[in-house]
Amino acid sequence: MRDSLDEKLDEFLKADDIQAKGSLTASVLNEARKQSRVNTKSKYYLWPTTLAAAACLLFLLFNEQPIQPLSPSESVVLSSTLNLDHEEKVLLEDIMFFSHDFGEPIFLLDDQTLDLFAMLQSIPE
Amino acid sequence: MQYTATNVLSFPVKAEGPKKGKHLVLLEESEEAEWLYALANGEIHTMDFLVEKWQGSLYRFFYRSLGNHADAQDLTQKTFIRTFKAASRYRPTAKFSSWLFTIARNLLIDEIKRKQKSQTLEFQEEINCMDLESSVEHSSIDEWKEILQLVLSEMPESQRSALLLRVQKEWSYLEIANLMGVSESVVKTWIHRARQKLKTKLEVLKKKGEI
Repeated sequence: MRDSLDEKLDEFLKADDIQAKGSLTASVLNEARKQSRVNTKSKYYLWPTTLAAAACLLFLLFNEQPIQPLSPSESVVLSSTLNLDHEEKVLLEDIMFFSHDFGEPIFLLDDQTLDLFAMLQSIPE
Repeated sequence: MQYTATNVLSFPVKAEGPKKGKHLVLLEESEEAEWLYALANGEIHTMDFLVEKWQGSLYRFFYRSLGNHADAQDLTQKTFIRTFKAASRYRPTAKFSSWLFTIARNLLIDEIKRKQKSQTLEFQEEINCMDLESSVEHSSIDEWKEILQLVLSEMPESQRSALLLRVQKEWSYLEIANLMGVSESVVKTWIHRARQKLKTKLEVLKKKGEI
């Protein structure tokens, strides 16, 4: 049995008082259709591009040459500070100061270590 | 016989004599088949005829489904764009409105899913506040409609769409069942439940004297 509430409900559901907003025309829709086609195409282009970029990255990562460690002769200054005169010591301090600024590694070895190093080098292989 | 847009066009639009079943359906809506056929052949202006005839129906369906003009406008436009794209594939073996509202409902379901994903707690709180405010003694001419809209928005999509197609489009249970891919009895149950929820709310509002 339909009553007044059913009628009220149908009035609400039919929404005859609701007016469509926005003006849709064939030309507007045609433009939007073209645009959506471009967007859809760009989706299809995105995947291969992403895959290609990922492949390049992987290639670079696995083909990267390992960094060659510097040989001791390039990186280590062997010197006994005890045998240096005053001028040489000042010069060495200057070198250390500047080399620190430029990031060059310099290691100073004391006499005992230097002797040990010399002894090891003198042992025939 | 396989019907295509071409051979439907060969029928007179208002044929004499009794027509039954699919023939009658085809003749009733052959106007749209004709427009789509022309559209598929590059006569873009025929889209204007489709918009003029169906914009209101689609808009009201989306508006009641989602409860706001922006979404209704957006989905109406999307439905026409998809119709535009699919014009060449349209075969008038079913009612045009069934075809159109199948597109519309698919878009609606997509939109609901998208909203559910992006729905934040903040948004939910906003809705709850709206509900509370509406339930309090504020009086406005359309307040009862706003409250019913909230009830409608909270329903499962299947119940809401079935009810809207029944009331707005006056479709038979069978037509709705075909569109939604379920049995007639399921559609009847959905519509009954949906109406009951709304009527219960209406009764409360009536007791409060708000309608």
